[in-house]
Amino acid sequence: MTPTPPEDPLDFIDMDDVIQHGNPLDWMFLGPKPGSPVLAHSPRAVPGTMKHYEIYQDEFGFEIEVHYFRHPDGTVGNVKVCPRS
Amino acid sequence: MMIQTLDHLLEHLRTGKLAKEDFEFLERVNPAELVQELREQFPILVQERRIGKKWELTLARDSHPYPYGSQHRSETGSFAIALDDCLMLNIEAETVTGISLQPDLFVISVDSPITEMELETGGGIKLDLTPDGWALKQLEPHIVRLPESMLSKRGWKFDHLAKLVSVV
Repeated sequence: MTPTPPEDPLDFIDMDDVIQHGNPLDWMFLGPKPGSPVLAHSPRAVPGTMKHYEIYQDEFGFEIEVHYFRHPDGTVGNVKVCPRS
Repeated sequence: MMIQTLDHLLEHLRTGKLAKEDFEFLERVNPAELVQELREQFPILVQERRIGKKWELTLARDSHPYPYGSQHRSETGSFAIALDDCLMLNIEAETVTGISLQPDLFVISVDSPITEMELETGGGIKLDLTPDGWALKQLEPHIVRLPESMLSKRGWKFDHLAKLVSVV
């Protein structure tokens, strides 16, 4: 049985953020934030879920952050574009 | 009860002043019932997509031909539409994870045959459920060009939108 590939968080960027930051396919990955990923302790998180904080350059040249959950089964959740901090 | 609470939420979101009961409402509401109620207030379905456990929708209260659309129309099959009072909703695994309001959204085909669309927003406000909790942010006025194929894959209802405005 072929294993399911892990979901790509960029496929889950909200439409309003696509309008703000352009096509995610045109974003440049700049790397994870120091310390990322970390184990999620949220009551909503399945045990073993990791929180990822990644830096991208959007289509217009601005640095943004993408924060998301990566669940043990390879799925992602709460993929959100956040301001660079 | 839902209508009154929803109206309060939308008003608070517009002003950027959300109350504790707004978050409690979003965390407890049945998403299907919320969508049903929102479709009453925002009857135009602009975009809808399900991917994995995510369900995302773009709704609008009203629409009219883009005021300067004649500059953009070339051949048949092109269109320019102004969408009034847009709401974008994101739901994951039966939980609301994002809601935004944008008073104006313009959608204009760039070429003919259509390969690219120009989306212009007058800005707005967004509430996100990030991995670290709720976060409010401003959406800036912005223009972006996106491939029609990408938008169609994301569930944009161009055929339906084209019928809402007269096409030259």
